[in-house]
Amino acid sequence: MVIINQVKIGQSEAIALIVTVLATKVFLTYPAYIVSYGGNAAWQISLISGLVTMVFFWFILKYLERFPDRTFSETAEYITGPYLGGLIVISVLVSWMFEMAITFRGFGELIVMVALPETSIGIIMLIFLSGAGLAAYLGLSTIARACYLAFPFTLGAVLLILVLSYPSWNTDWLFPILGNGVLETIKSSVMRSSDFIELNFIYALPLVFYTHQVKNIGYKSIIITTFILTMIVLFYLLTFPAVVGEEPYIPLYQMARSVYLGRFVQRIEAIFVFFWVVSGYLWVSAGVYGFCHILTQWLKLPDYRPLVLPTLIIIFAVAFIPQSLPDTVLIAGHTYRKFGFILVFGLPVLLLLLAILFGKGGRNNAKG
Amino acid sequence: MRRGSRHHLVAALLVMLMLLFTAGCGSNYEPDELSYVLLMGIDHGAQNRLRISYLIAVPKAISGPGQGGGGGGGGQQSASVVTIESPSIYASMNMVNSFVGRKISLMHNKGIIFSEAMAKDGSMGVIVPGLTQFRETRGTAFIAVSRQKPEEILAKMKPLLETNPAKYFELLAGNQSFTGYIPSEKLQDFYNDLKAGGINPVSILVAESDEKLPPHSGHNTYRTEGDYVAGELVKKGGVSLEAMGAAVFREGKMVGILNGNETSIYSMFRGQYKRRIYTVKDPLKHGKDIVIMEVNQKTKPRIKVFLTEDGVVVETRLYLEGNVLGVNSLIDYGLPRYRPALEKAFEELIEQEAMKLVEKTQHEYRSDILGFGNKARHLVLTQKDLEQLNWPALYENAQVSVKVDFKIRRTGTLLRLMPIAKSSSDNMQ
Amino acid sequence: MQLKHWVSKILGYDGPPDSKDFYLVETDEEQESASEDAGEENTPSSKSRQHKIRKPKKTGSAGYNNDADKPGESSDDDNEEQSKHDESQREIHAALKVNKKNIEQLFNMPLNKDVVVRELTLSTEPPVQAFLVFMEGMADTKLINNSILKPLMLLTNLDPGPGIRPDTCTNVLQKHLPSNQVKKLTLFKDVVTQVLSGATVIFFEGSPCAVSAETKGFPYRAVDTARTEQVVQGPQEGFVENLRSNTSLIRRIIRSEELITEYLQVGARNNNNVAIMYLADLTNPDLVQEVKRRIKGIKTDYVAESGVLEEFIEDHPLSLMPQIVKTERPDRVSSMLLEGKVAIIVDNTPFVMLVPGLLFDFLHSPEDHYVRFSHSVWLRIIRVFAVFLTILLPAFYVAIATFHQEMIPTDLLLSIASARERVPFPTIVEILLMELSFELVREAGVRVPGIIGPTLGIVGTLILGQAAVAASIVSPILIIIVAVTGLSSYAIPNYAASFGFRFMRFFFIFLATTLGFFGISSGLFVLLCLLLNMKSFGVPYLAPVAPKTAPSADIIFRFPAWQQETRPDYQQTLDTRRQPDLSRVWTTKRSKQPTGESENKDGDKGGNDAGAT
Repeated sequence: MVIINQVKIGQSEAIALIVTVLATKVFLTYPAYIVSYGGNAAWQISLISGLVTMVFFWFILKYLERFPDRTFSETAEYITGPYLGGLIVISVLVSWMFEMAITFRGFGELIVMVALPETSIGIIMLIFLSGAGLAAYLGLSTIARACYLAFPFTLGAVLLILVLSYPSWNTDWLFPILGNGVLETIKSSVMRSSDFIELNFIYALPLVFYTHQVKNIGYKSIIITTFILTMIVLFYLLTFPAVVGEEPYIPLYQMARSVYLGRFVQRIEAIFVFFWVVSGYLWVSAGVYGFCHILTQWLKLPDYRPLVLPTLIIIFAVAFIPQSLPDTVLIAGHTYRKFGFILVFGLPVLLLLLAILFGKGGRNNAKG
Repeated sequence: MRRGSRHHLVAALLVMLMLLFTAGCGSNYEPDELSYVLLMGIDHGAQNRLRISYLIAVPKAISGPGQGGGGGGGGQQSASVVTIESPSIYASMNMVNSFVGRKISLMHNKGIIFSEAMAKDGSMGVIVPGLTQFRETRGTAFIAVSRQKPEEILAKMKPLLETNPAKYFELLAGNQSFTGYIPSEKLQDFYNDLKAGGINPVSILVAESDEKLPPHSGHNTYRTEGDYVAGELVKKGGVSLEAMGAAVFREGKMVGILNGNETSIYSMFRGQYKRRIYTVKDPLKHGKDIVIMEVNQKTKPRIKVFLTEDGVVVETRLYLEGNVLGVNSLIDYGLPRYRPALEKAFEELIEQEAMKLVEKTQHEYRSDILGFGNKARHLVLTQKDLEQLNWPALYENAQVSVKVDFKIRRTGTLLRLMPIAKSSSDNMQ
Repeated sequence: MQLKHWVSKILGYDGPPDSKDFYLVETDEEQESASEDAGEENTPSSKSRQHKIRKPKKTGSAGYNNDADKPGESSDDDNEEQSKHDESQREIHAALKVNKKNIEQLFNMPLNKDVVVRELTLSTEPPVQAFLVFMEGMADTKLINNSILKPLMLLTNLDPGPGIRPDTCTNVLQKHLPSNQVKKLTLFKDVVTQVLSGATVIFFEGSPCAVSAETKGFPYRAVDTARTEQVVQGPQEGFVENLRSNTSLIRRIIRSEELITEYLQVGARNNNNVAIMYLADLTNPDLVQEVKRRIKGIKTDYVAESGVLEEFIEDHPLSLMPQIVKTERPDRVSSMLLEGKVAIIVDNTPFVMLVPGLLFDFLHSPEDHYVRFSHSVWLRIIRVFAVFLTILLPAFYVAIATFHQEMIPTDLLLSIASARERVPFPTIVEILLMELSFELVREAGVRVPGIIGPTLGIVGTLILGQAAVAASIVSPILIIIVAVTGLSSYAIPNYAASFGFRFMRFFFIFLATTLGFFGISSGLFVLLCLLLNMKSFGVPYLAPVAPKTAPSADIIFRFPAWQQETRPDYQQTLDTRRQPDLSRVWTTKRSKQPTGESENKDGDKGGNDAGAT
């Protein structure tokens, strides 16, 4: 059985991919969430959670360095045996699927809210899924290149929203500077490192990156993402007082709506639909690809492509489990996003510890 | 024929889209299937909870003659008012559509006018949050309180120059930047101020004009230009409407009004003041002589809040710049000799007015519309401390000092003012 | 059955791809900095097999006779062809009579009046019988009279020869034929090729070979100005139908011994000449190899024109976007040859193809390099803008007018609404109506005889639009939209690309009508992914941008000529440098005036700089 087409993506494209995947959540409820945790000091949460994530990433890196040239499932099975290893892979896949379905539903709701208020969400999500599925089918290099191409435009659009809202900026909203208190902020920050759980892309699909670049890719992506998230939350807080900032489902949309530059430049939020939708597509297609890729490697299949369509169907079904928009947000935010980091960042740490314990990996990393 | 199956996939997708297209998707409306509300009035109902008035644009009349062949009569009204009583705003939209063919849309609603009664009993504070939740409403719509019935105000919206009442109202509200008589308060600002502790909202005040010019009695008195509120102007012609002054709110209830001068001061404190003409009494030549100046704000005001044992001390500094446009007495205020006198007199004037306004908000309205509470956020470190501070109570007893820094920068187009030739050699300068 | 096939096509899986795609290999180092995917987009070759089965051969062999084994069909015609085929494979006989008979048979002599066989006697001692064959109309008769018949018949006696000898050919060729291109032929196959291309072939008694002398002389269009790619400043010459003129036009610009012209023949029946031109010390040999492999791998009977060949050799024939640059301009060809591309010139076509053709090549005009730097930047910006307008403007209008009315300034919205007051159709019908009439005007404008063309344009655009508005069939704003879209589509310098973009806009209009901005953005995303997935001769279609390669000085912005130091990285050229970093030596010290030469050599890996004269 030959695994064909082991695509590798270069550093800049990998960074664009990881940053897009990590930072796309700002188009959803992320800023409002952070504000609900941190109040006036929400931007500190974004910043600190990025730093916390870097610590986690150090473990991921150690883990990856110990097992170069192995897929995730191979490593897991190598360390813990085929049954337990399989269980680990399944847990990753299940959480991956869950995250993907919920966020995907979130994007569907976003489109309903922002662009098509009277269209059935089923149609929107069907089309959304078709586009994302096509991209996933075309492969990771296409997705990564699309990320690389779209990234500057998306970033530019976000910056434009931030800058255009300057007439409403009020620095007083950032005070009291410590928000809900230092301890509370740090506690929330650790919890909100769950916002970086898409980093599992790096350890679950280790072979798509060049081994010696992983370190650079990871740290740079985290830094860039942290910067973007912090900036957005900061400007969001400048524009809205914390009480109001907690309210919207799509904070950036709210910000775009509030733009008023004279009689002619207002209500420009519809323009940003482009960037939101394209980012959403990229997020979902990367997720679908990753899911199929892990599954393919685990089951030692020759190609991932036949799995794309079934995966899409499952996502579609799972995404409709939550009854309403608030439910979707609550499930995503209050359960998964709170403790997701334990599962996602804990897994490589656990594997690393076990590997050290059993003396596997490192110099003994011979495939056998 | 390589890559065939992918093309089939694409083809299948396209076929799906085509099917969708023929099936129709629901969210789209042709521009001529909607009736655009330009302004909206909200009042208590006589029978039902609310009485909502819509000013609906008549596109054919607004886009004017020259369109098409026969359409566009000159005398046609550019917009017409529709009033209905309903239990809620959104229900009223549906109810209006039981007699208006095109779907009512708030997408281009540029202004929301509440009746004074609604503002005073707090209903306005309840309705505004509901308005911002709706997708179609503009957060950038201007918000105003009318002294008469909103439907009457809307009926008066027959602009002199514009065909489009929305443009008229937007320009009118935008005039704040050079008159300062009204606050610059949009729906979203009102909402933010309403929700955030540490500041209370205001809104534009509009009223119907009297349209009566009193007869000449031979003598008149000096009354500053801002010493009016909407409805009091002595004017005739144009639109029978006036926007002047502001309505002050506390906890969503209207507690009082500010006149034009007070609104200017309010804007200065909020940093929203741009420029305005001030007519002041000549400081050096008492009597009827006046000095006319254009006054603009140099930088945003500096407001500092301290916590002392006696309570809160607020130190404020306003930075203004002037451009002398006319001096009745012909005193050359461009000269260093006379300039400080005018500067000082104006500083004192503004300080007095500001102190009066502050006291009014502290004691009469008990509402911190000037946003000192926002500055008080700097006093504490955490949100909990801020809640313990109980700003509204502190504000009422706060010691506020106002310092105005006024500089005359230029004197219109003239460098010097020469005296008028007089038969007697009365040496003035 | 059909349905089942389609369902299985869409939902099913054909198994992993088993054919490898060609791609230009990078060094490992480069591969890490920028990604390359190898053969990701293969489709199983079972596809083509199936295709063969579904479409059985109808009649006759299409001219490619290698697999012509049809025992059942033995008509006279077939037999003749079969024997003719054998004939042409045969070697030239020593006996003149046999040769003549062969020739007559090969060219269907009594029937085909274009072939002329002239018998003559060489004025040697003893006289030698000979005959020559040429194609009337392809050969210059004056040239034959003066430089073949005259020396052979009159002047050979000056040099007494020993009579019939097997080396007459060589002898004549070396001593008696004052023609500049002569060749010794031994196969009838070559004889046929030569005669068909206008040469005159001479057979001699007793010699088992023939001499072909170049006597091409057929009418062709003289070099004219380029018609489809016009520039304001810059050379005006365009290619013509004649292959040789075209190669000479290129050679005139690139005077380098490294400029190679290779000839291939395509089309079993029309034996069309295809020339491949490249710079030997510059172009990646793999690319040249691949071009030759693809052209040689074509089995068809008739390749009339470069467009036909394009369809045979391009990577994604079903894509809307062209993947081969076709140009009329020798200067563009030569500049692209110097970038490391390969030119393919098909005889009888005034359009030269260049591969690989990437998206950004289609947005470039040769003029960009001839005008001043600042102008060229502006030109490029306008052009990119035009591309987006062409694809998106009508769709954008539909989306805004029917989904996102809040975006439009109130006054404009009201005037749109009032203009639509008496229009009986929905916006989509309006816009389709106008777009289709625009396409009609465009198509009709191309087809009508030259003189009426401009008139038709005016009638079509002005009067039709005006009348449509007056009749309240469309709203006036729409006329502006359609006109601007049409204008922008003509601002795209490449005809094929402009057509592709123009066609795309209909997809976007439909998407916009159905789903507004969401539809448009979905379309853009799919378009982006498909473009990213495309390759032209082993180079990713969006090459300098995605995958990211070494920074190029000529994508959207053209850097000043003295800053364009390297060739495009994605071409994997043998010589990556155009010029040293310091290309304007005169800007440095005065004393170092003549040292530019040596510095230049430093920058070159491949030795000779092709551009240097």
